[in-house]
Amino acid sequence: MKINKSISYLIVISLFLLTIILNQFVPDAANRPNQPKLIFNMFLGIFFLTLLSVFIYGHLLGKLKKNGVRTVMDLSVIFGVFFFLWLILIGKFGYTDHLRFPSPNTVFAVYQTDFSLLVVRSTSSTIIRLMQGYAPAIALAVPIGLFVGRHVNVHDRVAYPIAKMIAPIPPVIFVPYAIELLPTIDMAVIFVIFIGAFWPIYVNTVYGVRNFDYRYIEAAKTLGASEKKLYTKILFPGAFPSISAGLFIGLVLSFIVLAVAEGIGGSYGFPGLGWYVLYFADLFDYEKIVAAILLIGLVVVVWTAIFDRIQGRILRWQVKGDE
Amino acid sequence: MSSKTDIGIRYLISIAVFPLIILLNLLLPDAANRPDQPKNVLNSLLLFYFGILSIYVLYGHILNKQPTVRVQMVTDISLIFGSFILIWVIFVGKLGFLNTHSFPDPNTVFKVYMTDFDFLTYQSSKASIIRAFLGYFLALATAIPLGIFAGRNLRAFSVSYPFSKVTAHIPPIVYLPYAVAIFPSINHAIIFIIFIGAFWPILINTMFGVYNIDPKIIEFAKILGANDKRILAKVIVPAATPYILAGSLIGLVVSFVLLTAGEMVGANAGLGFYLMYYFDVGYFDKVVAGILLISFWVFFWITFGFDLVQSRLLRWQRKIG
Repeated sequence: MKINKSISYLIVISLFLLTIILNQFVPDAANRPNQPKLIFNMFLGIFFLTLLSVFIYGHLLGKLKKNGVRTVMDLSVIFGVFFFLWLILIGKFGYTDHLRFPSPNTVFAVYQTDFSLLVVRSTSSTIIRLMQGYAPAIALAVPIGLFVGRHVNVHDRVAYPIAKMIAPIPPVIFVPYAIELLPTIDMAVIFVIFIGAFWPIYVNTVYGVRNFDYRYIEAAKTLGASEKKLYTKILFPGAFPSISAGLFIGLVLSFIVLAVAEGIGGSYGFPGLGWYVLYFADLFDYEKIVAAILLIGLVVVVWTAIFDRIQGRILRWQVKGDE
Repeated sequence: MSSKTDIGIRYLISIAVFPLIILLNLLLPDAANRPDQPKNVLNSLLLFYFGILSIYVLYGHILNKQPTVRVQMVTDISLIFGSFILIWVIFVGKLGFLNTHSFPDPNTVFKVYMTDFDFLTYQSSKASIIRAFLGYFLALATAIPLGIFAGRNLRAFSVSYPFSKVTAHIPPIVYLPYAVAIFPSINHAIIFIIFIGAFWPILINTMFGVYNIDPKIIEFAKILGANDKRILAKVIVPAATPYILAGSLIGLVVSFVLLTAGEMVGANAGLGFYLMYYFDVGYFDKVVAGILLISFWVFFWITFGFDLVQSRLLRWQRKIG
């Protein structure tokens, strides 16, 4: 069994090596000559080496969980086949028109040519702006949500009707008005991200507290827990699974809002990934658009991975309970 | 528990706000920096709302045809909405606080619905709503079957769950420029990104809901002689419905966000386009009118569309609880 599995994993891994070799030795399509191959090959090479080490360390030496290795391999098949087909069909055979469907080599070369604008400045300013809006949203929404969820009267008479009315309003429609009212564009963008992230986090926090088993609170009170301890030790951990669902929705919404706000505010001159995509869309520069979309995907992957780690740490009691 | 009369008085207050606003609007003189406000549209809308609310409370509270919780929620929301308009009318419209350019008074804003009736109230709303629903129902029709399949199949689940968790977090708006290039028109491109945006939350929740069904329940159904088709229709789908609905609500909210976002960035029709167009020209009464109309539609579809469907589909849940 283990040998069978090893062979199928090796096939997945060699797919990346095969793609690199084909890229080097098969001639480029006539309508896309002289593709700069270096960056794409490097990317595939890093992917290949990572998979190889997962294979050796995780599968052969058995240091990682079996299911984990399998998921990594299954996911890599999706990416491997995608890059392979993209390279062969578009880069080498030259199907479809070359303007709208650039080859992977030209797309990845953008990371080198536009290194400072795209990879450094746009990415960093997007992440910083996202943090500036997202962090205050968490800092306000979670405590308010815990408080409102705990006080039934405040929730039913005031907070619930307000949230019901305002929460579903798409935050992007405030972008133009925020740009008009706030002194700088940057503040407007951050403010709208804040709004976009606040409501889903708040709604989910309240939901988590409301659905929390009341007996735990009573038990803690009986054991003499202070009000402060009740919030930090009982309510927050108890509501956390629901809060983290809200954090995810808030993150998606704030990414969307950020992209739009950057696109609209971009004419006022500050870089960002959303601005980059929309700016080069006006110039019909599709290789840059695709490169930026892939980069946004990568940023999201890294962000999600870090987030999952933090969540896993906070929720480790839950996993323990299941075992 | 407060008595029925006490509750009735609270309801009366939230109803009475609306005629109060109309009276104040008619009797108080306009602010010096905003003279001669056209009051007809705001007043008739408030009167209309007042009528509907009175009938609802009469029907629900006095004739006892609606649950108290629901009547209370409607009146609470109305009271908040009413106080917002009241403050806006008095401070901005009558006392003239804030500058006239960025903070239009309510009478001028609501008049836009009349003067721009064809462009804003009818054409833009129509274009936006058709787009949103095409994209959203396309997502429902594909994500639910796929999610049920992936939730039933362990290997498919372990691949598609991390995959979709990553893909779902890429903001679909960044696909817009590329979608414009590939699809024949911007209209198709916006429908496509709405589809993508709604697809992922629905898929993830459906998958998760189906995956988390207690295997014992399915075993029971098998022992009692149900075939696969019957298990799917009578056990799996109903058991996953709360999750599917939770995902569908997130999908609906996200699709409205993407609708307006897409229209603001690239469209040539629709509510988002209207907003952006008059923002560029600098007519803020029209911008505010657009914001209010979008909010109204979103609120309308979620409360009168989604919530009703949800309470109908989940009526078994309330009976148990």
